[in-house]
Amino acid sequence: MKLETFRSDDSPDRAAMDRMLAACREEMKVAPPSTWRVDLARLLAGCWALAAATLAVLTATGELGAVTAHAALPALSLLGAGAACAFLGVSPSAHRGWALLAVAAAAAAMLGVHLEVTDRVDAGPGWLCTVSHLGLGAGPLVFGVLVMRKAAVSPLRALLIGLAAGTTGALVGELACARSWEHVAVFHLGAWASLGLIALAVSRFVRPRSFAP
Amino acid sequence: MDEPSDEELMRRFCGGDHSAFEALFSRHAGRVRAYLRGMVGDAALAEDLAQATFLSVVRSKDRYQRGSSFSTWLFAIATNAARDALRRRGTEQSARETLKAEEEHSVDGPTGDPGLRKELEVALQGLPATQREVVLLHQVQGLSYQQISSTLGITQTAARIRSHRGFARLRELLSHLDLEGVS
Repeated sequence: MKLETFRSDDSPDRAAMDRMLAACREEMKVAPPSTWRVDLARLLAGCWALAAATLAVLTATGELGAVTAHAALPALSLLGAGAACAFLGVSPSAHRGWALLAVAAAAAAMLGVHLEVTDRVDAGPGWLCTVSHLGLGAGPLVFGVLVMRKAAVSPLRALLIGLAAGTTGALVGELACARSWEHVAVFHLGAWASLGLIALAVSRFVRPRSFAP
Repeated sequence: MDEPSDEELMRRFCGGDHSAFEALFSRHAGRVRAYLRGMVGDAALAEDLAQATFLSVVRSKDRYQRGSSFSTWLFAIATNAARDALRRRGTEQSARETLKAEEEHSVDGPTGDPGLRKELEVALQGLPATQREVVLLHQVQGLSYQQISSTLGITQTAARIRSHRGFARLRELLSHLDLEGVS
């Protein structure tokens, strides 16, 4: 007996095959789900719209002053990192690891800029920034988890989707908070990483609707 | 007239031709089911996973990258389904137990020597999942190391090493049998 005898089901159970095909035919009658490109656009649009709306509210209430030029680099890095994380977390691409480099670059830009900023005395404890960051990321994270179910769940995909959701809060925090780099490292980057880890933890319980890569 | 390739059929299916999917199904369902049976060591579960695999093809046809090999993509889906099932089932030891229980109560079997085939199935379950999938894809389904590399997202070298180690382990596990065919 050779291993090759396992190549195909040599005792085809016609009834089982018919059941499988019937299930697929039923599935084909259902309206097709949104494509990954649409999901990606929705995720990014959601993150950016939420960040823009929050910044608009902060500006209107006087909480956010004129955004200084030094914030441009980390803000752009964050937008880039968010897009990279969302793209590589949602798309079928196999090169997901690259997004982590974008995240590292954005985090370095955030810290680097804050190293040069004079510590501003802000009212309220530091953890408020963390709570705000987590709150802003919650909506995109829920949507991201729903998107996650549409393909095979992998830890890296989950992490990237969580980090993509976290860029909303990171962007707002970067523009609205001018505290020291230590504060950014603990309360902002910590919150950002937490969203990635939450997505990772949730992914263990997610039942995917598809196992496609 | 030449039969359309898998990739051509997939292209038609993505364009809305459901009969193209049925052609793909009839071409690959047996192979996928056999591969999954080897992976999980449980005929009923393999059937469920084969169904999940083809449902995934239907649901995620937009994730198929045109120009890439359909069978590579299909086996990647089947592998993901098997890994998910194995993770949910817990330890791989339970798979061996299931097979041994099946072996004791089995009344029908495929062509050839059913007892020997069961032995092979039990031995396959004795391999780590990472080696088992490579052995099944290469030695059984005939995929090249390049295709396995794309299917599993590993390097070709890693695929070769896993295949070599897995096959060596398989021979060890089957050392009490006539190994004429397992070479």
